[in-house]
This record gives sequence, C-alpha cells and structure tokens, in this order.
Amino acid sequence: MKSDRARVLGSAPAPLVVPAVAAVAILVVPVVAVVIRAPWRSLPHDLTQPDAILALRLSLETTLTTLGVCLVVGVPLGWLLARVEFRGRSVVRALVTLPLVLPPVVGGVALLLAFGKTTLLGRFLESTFGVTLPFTKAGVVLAQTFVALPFLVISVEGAFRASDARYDDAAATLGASRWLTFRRVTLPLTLPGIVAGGVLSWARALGEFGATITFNGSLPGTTETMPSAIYNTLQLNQEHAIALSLLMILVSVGILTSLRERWISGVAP
Amino acid sequence: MSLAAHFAVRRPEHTTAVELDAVDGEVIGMIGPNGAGKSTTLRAIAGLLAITSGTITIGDTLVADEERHLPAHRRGVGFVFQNHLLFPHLSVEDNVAFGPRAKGQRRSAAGRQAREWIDRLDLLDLARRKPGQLSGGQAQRVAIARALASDPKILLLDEPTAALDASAAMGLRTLLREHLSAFPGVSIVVTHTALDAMVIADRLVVLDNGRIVQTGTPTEIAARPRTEHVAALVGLNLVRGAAENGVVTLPGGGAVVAADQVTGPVFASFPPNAVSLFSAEPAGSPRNVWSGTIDSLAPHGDAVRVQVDSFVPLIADITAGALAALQLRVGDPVWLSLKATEVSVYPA
Repeated sequence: MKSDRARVLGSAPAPLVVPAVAAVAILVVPVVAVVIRAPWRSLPHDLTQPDAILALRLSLETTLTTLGVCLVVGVPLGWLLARVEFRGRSVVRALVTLPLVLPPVVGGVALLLAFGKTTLLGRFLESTFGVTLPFTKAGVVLAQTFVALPFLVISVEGAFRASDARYDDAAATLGASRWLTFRRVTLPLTLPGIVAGGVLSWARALGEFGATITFNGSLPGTTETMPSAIYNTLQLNQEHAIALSLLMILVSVGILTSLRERWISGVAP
Repeated sequence: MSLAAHFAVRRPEHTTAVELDAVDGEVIGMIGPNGAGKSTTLRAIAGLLAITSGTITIGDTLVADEERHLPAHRRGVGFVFQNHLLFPHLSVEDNVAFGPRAKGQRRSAAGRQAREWIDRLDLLDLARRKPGQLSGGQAQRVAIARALASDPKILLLDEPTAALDASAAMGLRTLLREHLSAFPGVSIVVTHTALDAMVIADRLVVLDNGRIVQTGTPTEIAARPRTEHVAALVGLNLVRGAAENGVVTLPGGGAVVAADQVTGPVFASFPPNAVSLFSAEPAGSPRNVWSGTIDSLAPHGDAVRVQVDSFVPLIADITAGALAALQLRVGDPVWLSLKATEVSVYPA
C-alpha cells in the first residue's frame, strides 16, 4: 500500500530507511526483552511482596510531591522566562537547563556538597528548622526535583511562548492586571502544555535513580524508590527485579498513551 | 471622556509624533498608509506602548508623560483589535463579562452586564458559543460588545472591518455608526477604507509618516485631500506644485492647468472619470494633454480603472467599450486629456 506521496516521489531511500529501522530496534528490543522474560506466572506474587509494595508506595508518594513542587515553582519560572525581559534571562535559562545534561550521579554529589549534614547549608537547616535532607524522604523529593524540574520549566516556557501574547494586551485593555490575566487567560490557554510538561517531569522523577541513590542511599521504606529497589533486587533475585521492571514499563506506557491521546495529538479544548 | 494626546514615540527606525485633542462623544476616523503611525498612536493611548515624550490626558487624568506610565489595565481605554482577540477558551458571554469581572464585579452582576451588551449588539443566540464557532463578523461584534461592557472612558478600534468580507464589513459599519455615536466618550477608528471613514467618523485625522497632516470632516477631506494616500482612498488624482495664474507646475516637471487663476503653492485634484484616453495625440479644446504608458487595468464598478505612468502616476476611469475601441494593453503608450474646469485647486 503506497501513499500518494510515495507514488509521486518514489520510495523512501535506503540510506534513510535502514538507519531508521536500526534506531527503532535499539529503542524497542530491550523493552520487548523484559516483556518476554517477565515471570508472568509468579507476577501477582512478586508484585505483592512487602518490599515491592513499600518501594512502589514510596515512589508514588515522593514523585507526586515532586510534581507538586515542580508545578508550584516551575510554572512561574517558565512564565517569567517566556514573558518578561530581564537582565541575565539567557543565563538563567542556561543554568536551569544544566541538570538536563548533567549526569544524575553528579547531581547527587552536588546535592550532597550543598545540603549534606556537614555542610554550612545542611547545618543551618538542621539547627534552624530541624530538617535533615540526605537519607530522608524530603531528600528523595529534592533529588527528584533537581532532575525533573528542568523538563517542566522547558516545556512550560515553550507553552507560554506558543500562546499568543496579544491576549495579554486584550485582557489589559479590559482592566485585568497581569496576575489576573495569568490566572484567567494565560493559564487556561496553556493548560495542555503545562499538563504535558507535568507528566513528562513526573515520569522523569519516577525513573530517577542516580541522584537519589547518591544523595540518599536506599533505605527500604524511606529512600528506596522503585528504581533503587530494582537495582538492589537484581543482585539477589533476578525474577523479582524483572517483575518490578515490567511494572514500571506498564506505568510508563500508560503515561505515554494518556499524553498522546489527551494532549499531544489532540487540539487544545 | 475627552482626550488630549500630545506625545511622541521615538524608535530608531521611525518616529510617531501626534497632537490630537478630542471632545466627549466625538468619533474620530484615523486614516493613513501602512507604517504611518496609526497603530502606534492607538497603542500609546491605550497604554500598551510607552511614550518617549509629551503627555496623554484622559478626562482630568494624566495617564502618561516622560516618566509616568499608567498601566493599560488602569486606564479605562477599550480596544477592539483587528483580529478580535476573543479569548478562545471562554464563551461569548464570558468574554463579554471579562471586563466587568476584572473590575471586581461579582459573577452574577458581571453576567447581567454582559447579557445587556450581548442583547444590545444582537448576539443573544450566540451567547453560549465559543469564539471558534463564530463568523468573522460575529466575532468582531462580540469584540465590540466586550470592549463596551468594560465601561471604557475611551474606545479605540484598530481596523475593525479589515478582516471581514464585503457584506459583513457593511453590516459592522452600520452597527459601529449606531454604537459609536451613542458612546459617551471619545472613540477613534483606524481604517483603511474610505467607506468606513465616511460612514462612521465625525472627523477624520490623516496620518502620514508619523505625523497628523490633515484633520477635517470627511466631506472636507474627501474634497481636498492633502496626501496621495487619501486621494487614492477617495479615488482622486492629486498633485502638488506651484501655481501661477492657474498653471500648476510640479517640482519634478510637468504641469496641470486649472480654470481658477490661482497663484502660490497648491494642491490640484481631479477625478479619474474626467480623464480621457487616446491612442494618438488628441487635437481640440482640452487644456491638459499628457503622454504616458499603461501601468495596469482593473475593473472598477461598471468602469475600467487604468493606471497610467505619466509625469506622475495618474488614474483614469473609462468604459469597457472605450477600452475595447482603444485596444489598450499594459505597457502601451497612451495620451491623456483633461479639461481645466475639472481641476480643483486649493492652497497647500
């Protein structure tokens, strides 16, 4: 079955098709391998083990908190970067996106150096607020936020940029302050982009491993999230680790489909 | 409310410097070519643009000078944009209620006020629709209702009919005439069409190159245009030169002979249907005979509008029959003649 375009222009050239197929293979084969090797029969048993439930609950609890933190601080930052011209805006943007390219382990080391128990900031937080970050749930949230927030800021900024700033003018001539305009015009118009950015950053937080384990270790129930649990279990019980991996794949696919159907291919409501 | 706008907006590439006063209830039409500063003027008055020097006063309130800039949302200046800019996520009713709500009214009171304006602009059966489900003319009517419902002191309209087809534009023009003359404050309508200017405005302001070059009633301006843009808008030929006993000599060469024995710097204008075309040099009485080449031919009402590249670009309207008899094509040489009595001359 050939499309009109292929009939008119000829088939796609091999030098483009072959590497493209290789790219798909690289991305799909490992995931398929997990699905094939998954211990389907013992799956219900594996996934109801106390340690599995503990890790899953911790992951959900921390990533949802992370998502909340990201939205509360990331949406305003995205708006500022998109709508307000200030000195050093490009520097801020570059700094904010740095964690995107930073190896997560390095992020973990950096967090230790900034918020570790023996650091100035760490001691201040402990003596003033009684808060210790490393090796706690709050530390997990911090590590996840460190890696997930850039995704949210970047996509939210893009959404604000794509929305027509002339609506701000129209709202102003109707007597609306910038804050009111943000709440009643800009936010509703960019909601699809914000939701997409939120889901993306949440997925990133869910998969976070390097920074979390470096900053927090992996204490079951406190800092051992799903990725840490999979890594730790892999040494002891491979079948069990595969079951947990499968669970995460299912969650990710679920996220992707919901994104695709509701926000990516669909038009804004 | 009245308006006193005496300001300049300086940009590296162009400057707009405007001196404009208007009294309560006045409807001002603003015309001029693209880049003349019309939108800059409106945006400066609305507070969407900061002025470089001068002052803008609305009623008794100084809203802008060199240092101060009252933000747009506190000026009470309503704005109707060329492409309506209705909020796409809100229904017609919520769009119209947006202004009252922004001013702190409760939802029910704002809704009442919105419905009142929706009713006045005959939009009741569209109240629940989203802007995406409206035609261009309907959307622009909603935009006008939205601007009026915010109870502005001044109303600015930036080419409200430009994006509409001819019949929708006609409908909107009639509606604007009615609602702008009922509006208690100053309203300013920027337009590109002569008809808008003639139908809607009490007074016309002509902008050219960042300055107001002429103001007057539509009739005065149409009869005695002072810019080529306005002359073309109302369909007149316009030249400027020095007259001596009725002979107007242009700085770039060429002359137009008028029946009036005037002297001094003048504008001379004449209607396109007074210009006759010939394929050979005409003999006889006309005082003005020029040669040129045909630049373009286009239908214009029942006639054909011929643009001729002569000593200056000129337009002539001839009948389709005359065109066929002359067998004229673009690029052909042609002779033009004009009776001196058809030329009106007025001081420049």
